[in-house]
Amino acid sequence: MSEVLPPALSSTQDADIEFAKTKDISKDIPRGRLGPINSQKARESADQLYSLLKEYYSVDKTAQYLNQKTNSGDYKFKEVALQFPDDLVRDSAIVCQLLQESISGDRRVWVLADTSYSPCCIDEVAGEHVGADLILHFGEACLNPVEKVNSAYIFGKPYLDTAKVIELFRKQYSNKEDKICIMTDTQYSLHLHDIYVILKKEYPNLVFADVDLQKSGSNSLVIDREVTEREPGLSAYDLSRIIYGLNVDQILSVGEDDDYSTITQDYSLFYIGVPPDPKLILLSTKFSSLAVVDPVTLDVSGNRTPSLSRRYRFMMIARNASTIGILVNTLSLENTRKLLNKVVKWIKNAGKKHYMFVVGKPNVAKLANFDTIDVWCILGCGQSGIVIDSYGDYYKPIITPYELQLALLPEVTWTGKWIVDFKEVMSQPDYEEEEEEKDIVGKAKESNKRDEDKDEYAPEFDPVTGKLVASRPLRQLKHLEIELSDQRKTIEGSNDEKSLATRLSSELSIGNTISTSVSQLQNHTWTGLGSDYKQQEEDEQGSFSEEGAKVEEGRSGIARDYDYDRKTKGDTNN
Amino acid sequence: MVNFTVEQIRALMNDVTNVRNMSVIAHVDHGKSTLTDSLVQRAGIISAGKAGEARYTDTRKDEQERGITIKSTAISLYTEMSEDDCKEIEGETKGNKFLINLIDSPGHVDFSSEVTAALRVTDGALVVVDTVEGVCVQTETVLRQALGERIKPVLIINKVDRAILELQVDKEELYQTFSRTIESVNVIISTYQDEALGDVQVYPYKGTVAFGSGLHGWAFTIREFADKYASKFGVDRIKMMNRLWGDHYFNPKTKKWTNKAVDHKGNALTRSFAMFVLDPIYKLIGTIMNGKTDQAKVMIEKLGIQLKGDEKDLEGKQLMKVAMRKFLPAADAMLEMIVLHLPSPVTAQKYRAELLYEGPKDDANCTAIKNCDPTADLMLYVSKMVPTSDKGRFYAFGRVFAGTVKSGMKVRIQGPNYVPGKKEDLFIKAVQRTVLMMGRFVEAIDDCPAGNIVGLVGIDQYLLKSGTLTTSDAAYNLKVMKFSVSPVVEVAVDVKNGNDLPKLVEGLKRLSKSDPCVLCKMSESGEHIVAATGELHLEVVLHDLEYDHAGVPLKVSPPVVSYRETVSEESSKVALSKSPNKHNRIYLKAAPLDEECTVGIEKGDIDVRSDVKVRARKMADDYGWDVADARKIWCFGPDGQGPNVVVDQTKAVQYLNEIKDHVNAGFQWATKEGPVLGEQMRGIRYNMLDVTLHADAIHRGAGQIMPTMRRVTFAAMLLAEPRIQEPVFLVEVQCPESAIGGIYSVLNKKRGQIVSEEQRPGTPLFTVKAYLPVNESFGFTGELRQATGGQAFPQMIFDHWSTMLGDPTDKSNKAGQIVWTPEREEV
Repeated sequence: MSEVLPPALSSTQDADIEFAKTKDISKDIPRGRLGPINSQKARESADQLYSLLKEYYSVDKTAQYLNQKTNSGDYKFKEVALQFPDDLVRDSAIVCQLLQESISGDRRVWVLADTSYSPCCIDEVAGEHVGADLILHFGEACLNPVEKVNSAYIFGKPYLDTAKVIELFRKQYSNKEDKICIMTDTQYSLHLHDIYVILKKEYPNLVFADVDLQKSGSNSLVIDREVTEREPGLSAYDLSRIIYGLNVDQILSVGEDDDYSTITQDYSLFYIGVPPDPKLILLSTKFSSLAVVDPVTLDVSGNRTPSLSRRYRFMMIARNASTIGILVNTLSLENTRKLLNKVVKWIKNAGKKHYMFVVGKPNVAKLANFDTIDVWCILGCGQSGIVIDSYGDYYKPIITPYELQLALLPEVTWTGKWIVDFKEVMSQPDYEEEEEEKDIVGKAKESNKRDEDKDEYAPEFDPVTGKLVASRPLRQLKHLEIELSDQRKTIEGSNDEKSLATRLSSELSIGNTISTSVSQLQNHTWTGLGSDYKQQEEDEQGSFSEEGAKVEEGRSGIARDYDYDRKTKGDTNN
Repeated sequence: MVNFTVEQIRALMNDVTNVRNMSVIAHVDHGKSTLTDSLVQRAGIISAGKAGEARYTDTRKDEQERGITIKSTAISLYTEMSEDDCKEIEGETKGNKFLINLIDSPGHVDFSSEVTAALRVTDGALVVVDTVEGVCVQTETVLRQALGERIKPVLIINKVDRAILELQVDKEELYQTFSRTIESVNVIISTYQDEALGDVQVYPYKGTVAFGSGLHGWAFTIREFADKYASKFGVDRIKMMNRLWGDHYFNPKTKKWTNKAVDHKGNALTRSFAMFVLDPIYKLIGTIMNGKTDQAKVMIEKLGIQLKGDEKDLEGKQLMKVAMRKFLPAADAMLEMIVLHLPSPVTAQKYRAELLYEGPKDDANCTAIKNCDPTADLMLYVSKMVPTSDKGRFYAFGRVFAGTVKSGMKVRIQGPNYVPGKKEDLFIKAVQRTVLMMGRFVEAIDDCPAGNIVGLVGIDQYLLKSGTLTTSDAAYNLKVMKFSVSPVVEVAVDVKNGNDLPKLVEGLKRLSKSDPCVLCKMSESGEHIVAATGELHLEVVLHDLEYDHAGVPLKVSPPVVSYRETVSEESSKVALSKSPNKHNRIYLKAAPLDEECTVGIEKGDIDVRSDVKVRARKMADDYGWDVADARKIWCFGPDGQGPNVVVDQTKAVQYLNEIKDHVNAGFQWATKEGPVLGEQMRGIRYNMLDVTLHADAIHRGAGQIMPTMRRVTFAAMLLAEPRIQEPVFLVEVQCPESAIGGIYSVLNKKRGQIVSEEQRPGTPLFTVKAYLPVNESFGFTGELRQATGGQAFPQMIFDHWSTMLGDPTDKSNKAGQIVWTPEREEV
């Protein structure tokens, strides 16, 4: 082949369509978290930037930690991976260099450039790619424990104008008797106690929620934060916080199994930081009201919380969904597998169909590829691993396992709670389990009886659209058998044992199960190559065109590497 | 004492030629239920004394309390006609026993959907018009619907007693009033008449018009009087009937008939109708009401009316009622019209079949319907669900068009979205029982042959509001009913106590079943919405929901209306959107779809589901589309059937067919929630000018195309001067002249637009018609009553969507204010 053309786009571009160029705003964002003075300094010279970042990320203490040796004299950590959230990645090269300089021995420090799932969690899988035995996590963290790998957290030491924040606080709460709780992003927790001490004098009912440094588990550590001995506090486990400043009676009033929100429901929350949407919802369900202060711009926002009633709508849609896509958005969180199995079981018991997806960084385009899915159920970190569709961008709603569980209950239920902690979700009273406890014979009898009186495949009323829908494809099994037994006989008669899929009155079923995706496919006008020729024929008043299409040899290979690409490469080599 | 048995009725069902399915339709308060009473009384179900007051067919408590009909009620009646009468029936009959399946329907516009459901299962309609008020807006609406369904009307002019007693109208004037009313009814009939139905205008001299008083229980047709006089004049009845209406005069001196109003000496002559028909009535009523009881008794005897026992002691009004009822029983006049002039199912289904059946006009099922064949495959249309005494369960109420439905029979239940060959909206279930609907009671029957109306037990779970039952695999649906009203008034409902939520959801389900036109859905922001046709409908529906269907205390938001988003210009430039991977591009332009076409799609005149070529032809012929364009319509949206279209105008784009489904999905999504205020789009045509697709299938999948199509749809719309549309009611108010000022001032305050103001000839009443935005209509009735001292009562019916002037992005105008209300900004 003499000339290879690039893959042709299907039609030419019009030259007269102009595309506006937007100004690139990604450059030159000041490092606001260093504080106004320091961020100015950091711009002036590289040396100053280095020393500031060294201080900010506690590089010395970190190096000290890394230089630990085991009893046998080896270094405890040989391969170290650094994980940065997207907004801190710009510092990664410097931090990496600083660390590499400060650690002894022939050891390598890696930067994990991209986090597959939520940036607040330790990315175990990415660490495994380089065989890291320690992952250092920088910035805001959820502190959810990971199972396999050793990890350490460095929150960083951001600047906060405490005087201004206190002023804002006073403006926000005029009544000194109010019950208020202060909380910060993990990085800003170093200022928390100072603010608390000042404000406590004026506000007797003030409490604060400090980071629970031990939450991350035994094989993990927070560097450059001390576990301070304080009076007993109330653990807000799903927020990785401990609430201090409550009196003892209040703490004791919360029993072992009770939710801490019975106390916090009465408190307003003053939050310093930029919480992601899932966390906002969680906070809004736990506290009576919410004021969020951006630590850099010092803007106060109150009602940006995604609405919980929208979640109710999604739950209702899930009730009448026939196919549920389970979207696994974490691999490292504890109990992921357990919960996954449970979710699958719930869906099966409800007579619905499920597919499982592992998608890194899910977005609109990725999820829209699967149009058989009626609703997505996402398993991810409660802090930022859950996709909240605030602007209606996603084609199908995305719900959490807890919401799915509510949706699959036979009776409409809505608690107004938002539970994201996997353990807690699994410990919810489980209706299916109760049923299982009964002896199998009894159950079978019962279900037979139900068949007769209630008809398990009767359509259900969908309050979202106001229509009747049949949403349990797997429950129709029996229906199918009875109805199509005649057809089955003829098929058996034809003795075509090799056919996997049988066409049953134009609905494909595989084995004995109705395939939702096939029925979806049948609604498509495009059913594969050649279907457009059929259409052309129809257009031509049913007259067959003289000749069909000429069969040509197509392209082979994969998108990255087609056959002609290989040839071209070969050509250039020659 | 009920003077017939279920067995008698069941036996008659087989003789379909002797069955009459008819509905009683009219404007509100013209006396449908009252007249129905007379028929019910004739059948012995209620006593004669109660007829006119019992309103037997108003079965609900609130119907009795409010004095209006809310739900349509069916009742089967058995009657025997004289041999003489039977001879005059067109078409074949067997014997002189007849079965009348009667449906009394509500007159208030808000409940028009009930009328639609009633009309579908009947073949004839008894149109009731008030003598004084004449033809009103709802008379026209229901009559138009009836003719659209090819239903033959007969007319009864009611409340003649009011004209005589209250308004003291003289005989000639009364004749003129009758004549005008008949004329206006005939105008409507000829406007909407279907050729297949033949001439169905009503004429008193043909016996298709009756006059009477439902309250007093009397009515007559010309035929009845012609009977009485025919022998006296020695002419046959038909000739006599012709002479008793119109410009026919009898000169008593010369004993000659003439068509001039004066005799040869110039003396005025009395019109024959006044002389022979009205005179005895006036005389009888006059004598009794003037207290000349003795004189009246003589007259009563002369007329051959026999009074029983204590009836003889009655005086005044009571005596008048009894005497008139015995002289001219209302039931006789109505039965005569119904049996003689309304078609039997056999006759009616011949011309109705093609209109009822969605499938080909020549297939076995359509033929069976045409022949009303009880031995063919079952074809049954369920037009509504009737609540049973068992809470949460319903009778499926419908009409057997072909075949016979039996208890225990396995049937295919095809919902409105069923497509032959597909599984969607299809269930196979056994009918548990078949019943006969008898007003507030039901009677079990074993089976029901074609041509009859029936109630079914045990299939209510599989149907929401209506559907087709059949035993044939190949059967298409019977056409889904189109309502003349739309649910445009919405409220959000919520439970007061969170634990009651399941009851609310169950209640909403029952509510949607029990009412053909109520819509229960959920808003984008997660609220349960109940939509109804008007304020009264909403009130009734919410009451039902709270106290009956859900049975739990509810929180109800103030009523709101839903809007539509549209465009007013063509897009100022081509909108382009790139797919997330930047490899695919869609070029789109939006343009307004003209209102006629939009309404055509909404009303189903342009059938979205029909074959492309047929549809394209129709659009080209009736709506001025280019045939090539119409054939290239890719999809309608939202929900695959809304009034927005995508037209493919690309040239030679490779792989284009592959993305059709994705484009369609993206378009459905976009048109369902528009960019301006998240409401449905309406009346927009999108021209797809070009598409650029990546050569690899993996790079032009659903995930790339669908969101792109949605964005480009939004972009094209926003480039085309977006506008919002609000629903508008047509208001009709009847009132005396003194109240008109009040009406105008209220309408002005509420952005109303007067369409017409007319005086009803012969009455002091004025009819004002106006357009009123639904948004402003809340509390309108109350304010109007206040402004006019209680003299004006409006009837409001959804009429059209009106585009609001002004750019909705500009907060300074009305449209902008609706878009920028705080609640919407939060969403």
